[in-house]
Amino acid sequence: MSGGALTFMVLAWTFVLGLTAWCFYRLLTAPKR
Amino acid sequence: MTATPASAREAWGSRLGLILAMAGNAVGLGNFLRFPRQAVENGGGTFMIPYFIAFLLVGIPLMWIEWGLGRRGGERGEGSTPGMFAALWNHPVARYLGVLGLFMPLVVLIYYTYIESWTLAWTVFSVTGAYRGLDQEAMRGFLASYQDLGNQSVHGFWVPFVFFVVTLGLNILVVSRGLMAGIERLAKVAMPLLFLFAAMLMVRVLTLPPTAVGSPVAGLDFMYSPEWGALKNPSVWLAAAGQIFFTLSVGMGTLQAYASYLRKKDDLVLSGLATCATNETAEVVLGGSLAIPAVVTFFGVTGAVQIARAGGYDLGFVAMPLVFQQIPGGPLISALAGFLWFSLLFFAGITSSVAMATPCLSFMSEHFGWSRGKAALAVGAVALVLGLCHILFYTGGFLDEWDYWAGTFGLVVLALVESVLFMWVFGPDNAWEELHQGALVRLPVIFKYVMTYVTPVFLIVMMIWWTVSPDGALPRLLMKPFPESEHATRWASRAVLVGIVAFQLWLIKAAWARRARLSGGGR
Repeated sequence: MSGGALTFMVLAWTFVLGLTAWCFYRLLTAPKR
Repeated sequence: MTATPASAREAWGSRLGLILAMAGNAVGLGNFLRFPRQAVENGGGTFMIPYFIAFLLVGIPLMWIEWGLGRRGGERGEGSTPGMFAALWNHPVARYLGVLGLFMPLVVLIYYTYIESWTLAWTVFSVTGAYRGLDQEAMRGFLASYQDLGNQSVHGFWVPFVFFVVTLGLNILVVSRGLMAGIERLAKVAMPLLFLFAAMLMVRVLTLPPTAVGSPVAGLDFMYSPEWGALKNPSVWLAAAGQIFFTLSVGMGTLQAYASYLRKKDDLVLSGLATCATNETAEVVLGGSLAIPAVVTFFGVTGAVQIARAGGYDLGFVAMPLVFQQIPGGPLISALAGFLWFSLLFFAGITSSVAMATPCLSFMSEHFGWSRGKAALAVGAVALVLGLCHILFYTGGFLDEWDYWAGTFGLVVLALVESVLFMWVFGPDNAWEELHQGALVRLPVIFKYVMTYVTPVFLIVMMIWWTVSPDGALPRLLMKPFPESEHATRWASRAVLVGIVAFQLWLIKAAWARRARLSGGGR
């Protein structure tokens, strides 16, 4: 796998997984209304 | 007078249940079948760059617009777009524009349930070993015999009917049980199973040993190696933006229907973003790591491109079963892999199709006082009758017409209408305030400008290009890309679509006339 492809894949996965994790962390730790 | 008092409407049982149902709505067959095919056909890594740009500039903003539109409608007792649009724009045209949000989900529900029934059939075939030992040509014949009733070389003519009726019946059963006991409960079971099955398969695919023609790493390399020069090709951008629409289920009328069950104090900014993010995890991380690496391992990059271009469903229903037969471990592992793949597709499909039934169900319940069970049966009866047309005339292009006009072009039309209504007619300041009612996070203000200017302009450009491009709406309307033998079926298919729109417009007229009568002569 080329370095460029690996970098792109790591960036894409980090963005997607990071966004998902952050959203669920904030949602599940938010006070109930 | 409103359709149904907001206080009398159902509500989501929990925040997690809502997110899972919304994510279930978004995560569908498109994540695992359409995305890999689009990526392969449009150059792999080249496709991924406009894909992420469209996600940020169109996908996420439209998700927020639809949640905002839906919640605002729900507060006024409106669970479908005719009433939601009328609540934004006090003009009779508004409710008739809302027909788009009844037409699209009903039409897509009907043909989508048919494709979903294939996944149920292939789950059974995987377990029974029906396709075991077939080579590529025989596997193509296996799919072709299922799709073409005139070709009974493998399957009896009754087989597709049975799986379609069972699939549709399951959908109707779920929606008839209501929001919490039906849709939310299904999402809480199906979504974790979907992610579990996909993760198990992903581990198996990515650890496959290399073959003479390829490897999983070669598949990932293809997926993430852009050719910068190919980005000048507008069709790659259109394909990427189209995929974002299809995968997030925006422009369909279904997200608005689910969001109408939110309360004013409920967050929608973070929840909408969580829905987008969950969908992208399913698509980019899981969907992108299954079909492409697996097929590239056994057929090479060139072979994968050929398979993707051979037919809309060859990657999922022909190539993947062939891959599973070649996975080390014998027939049991092959059957297990097939079961995991097709049952995860079925879970992805059913959590989306129940959402597609919801707008029409809400409309009939709220405007004509029908019980949920009665409305579900009516939607099911329509879907059954029209779904049979797809089974009978699939090979003549009947389904392809519906998929293009409602499932592709129509999504952009509804998205443009709703974004103009929400951001321009309702006003950017009102829209911004509406989105932040109950919000758990505040959005960067730049998104206000993106939603007001960038998103609608992006949609207008998409619509124009889709209309005039060589394989776009205008040439299609004139039947230029199709053989003479398909013209009659395709015109018949379009006539049915026109009939559905006309009937739904008449229903909207009747609903408002009824409302006026009940409220003593108001507009």
